[in-house]
Amino acid sequence: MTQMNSKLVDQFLQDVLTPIAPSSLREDIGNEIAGHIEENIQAGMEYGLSEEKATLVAIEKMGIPAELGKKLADIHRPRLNWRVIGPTAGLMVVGLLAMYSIGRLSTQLIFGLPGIVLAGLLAFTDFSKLKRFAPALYTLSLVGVVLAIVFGTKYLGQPYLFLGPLRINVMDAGPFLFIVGLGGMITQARWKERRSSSLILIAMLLPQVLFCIANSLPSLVLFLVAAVALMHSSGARHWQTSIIGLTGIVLLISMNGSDSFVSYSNFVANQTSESHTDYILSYLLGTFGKSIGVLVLAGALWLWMQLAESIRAIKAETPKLVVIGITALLGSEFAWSILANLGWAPMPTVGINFPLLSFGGTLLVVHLASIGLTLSAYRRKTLRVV
Amino acid sequence: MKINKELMKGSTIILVLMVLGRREMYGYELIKEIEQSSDGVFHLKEGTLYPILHSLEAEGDVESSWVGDEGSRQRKYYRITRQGRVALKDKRAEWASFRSAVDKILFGNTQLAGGLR
Repeated sequence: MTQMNSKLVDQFLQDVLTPIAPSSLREDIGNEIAGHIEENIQAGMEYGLSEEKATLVAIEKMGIPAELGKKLADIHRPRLNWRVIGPTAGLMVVGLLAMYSIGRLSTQLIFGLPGIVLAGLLAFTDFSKLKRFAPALYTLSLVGVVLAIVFGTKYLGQPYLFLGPLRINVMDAGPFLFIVGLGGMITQARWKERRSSSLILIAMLLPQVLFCIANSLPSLVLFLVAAVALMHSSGARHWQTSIIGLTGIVLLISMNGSDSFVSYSNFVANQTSESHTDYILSYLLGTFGKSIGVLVLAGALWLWMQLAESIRAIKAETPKLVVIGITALLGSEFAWSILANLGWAPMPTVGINFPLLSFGGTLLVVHLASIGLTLSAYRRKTLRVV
Repeated sequence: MKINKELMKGSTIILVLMVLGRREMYGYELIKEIEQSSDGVFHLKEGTLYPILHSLEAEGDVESSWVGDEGSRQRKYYRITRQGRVALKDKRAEWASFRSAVDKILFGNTQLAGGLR
């Protein structure tokens, strides 16, 4: 194409792309429209037009650039996923009501409010920026878990870290922090390369070993489920996924399971002890009746389904993987918590919480932040690359 | 015969989905295909095609991917999704009942309308 003609095309593209913000989206749309114009120029020249004439006709055919740009910008406008915000807010309100009736409202609010602010900040930060923190998040979590194991104070058999007056529940937060960090680092391309795939495998094994050492059985199970989900969706080979799965199971078996669980009958005899955390659902049912139970279950199911639905809509690899990891974790927590409350699954002495409902500051912040991340991923769901 | 713009408006989405239902295509090809299979009656304006494709994709009715080696010309191919096929089926049923109602009013009975086509 002569310089003059390519200048005309560039000018047209520039006018189309003016209202469109993220650079990867600009590139994507620009290439697509440019390709179309080129095909039209070629067709025009085959028809017998001069190159200049063909270029003018091809551009003319595309219509008014500013109008096209505005339409496309509107389609790709960032959107908040209210279908996730709705049930999240609903569950939180029920949770706060429950805490009020148990007399722990203020503690829950001290964590809940910053949690909401953090979720909001994350939701409105572009994933391209968040992605850069993934390795740091993973490393920090590793340090936190090791510190808790070495220096932590044990409570119900699980180590906690103290930061001044704050008791940080590192083990419960661990699966989320590790999985989000890993989701931000794994790519399909990395599985294909020998060195980086071995590194990821090690990065997937380390948390399992640490959870095993810390005797945090639920954390190990949750991490394992989400890790396998991440590997499966990111194109890991079957043998790679099998290694992680099998090591996890071996570690699980090696843990002394008997003191990690309370029996259901034991709990029923001593209902009040853990009612604010693990047995929050039973407490709600007992205190407020069946209808609230049904409401909570419906809310949890709805939230989970909306998260799963948003996975399909998110195009870029990294945000998609992070949301897959979070959805797997929240889903497992919901399922385990519900089944254990019904007496259909073993209840660990610590570590299984009903997301957004159970008492526990660290985990409330972690859960809200995770929801914030899914919102950020959804806002820019049409981006192919972040 | 040239078709009025307003008449085209309501039917472009169904045409795009229909054509993509047959096989995956890139934008330029899609316009040609619609033109050809309507015997030249429908010419989709290129300026309207891309907003339609992009919003269909945002809704999950179609998905796209760039095909072609680096360096040579890459084309963005669109294909219909399972959700898109369901949407297409609904739209076809809607169109059929709309058409038969309009035909009934304009031509009295549907038999005649069929004959006119």
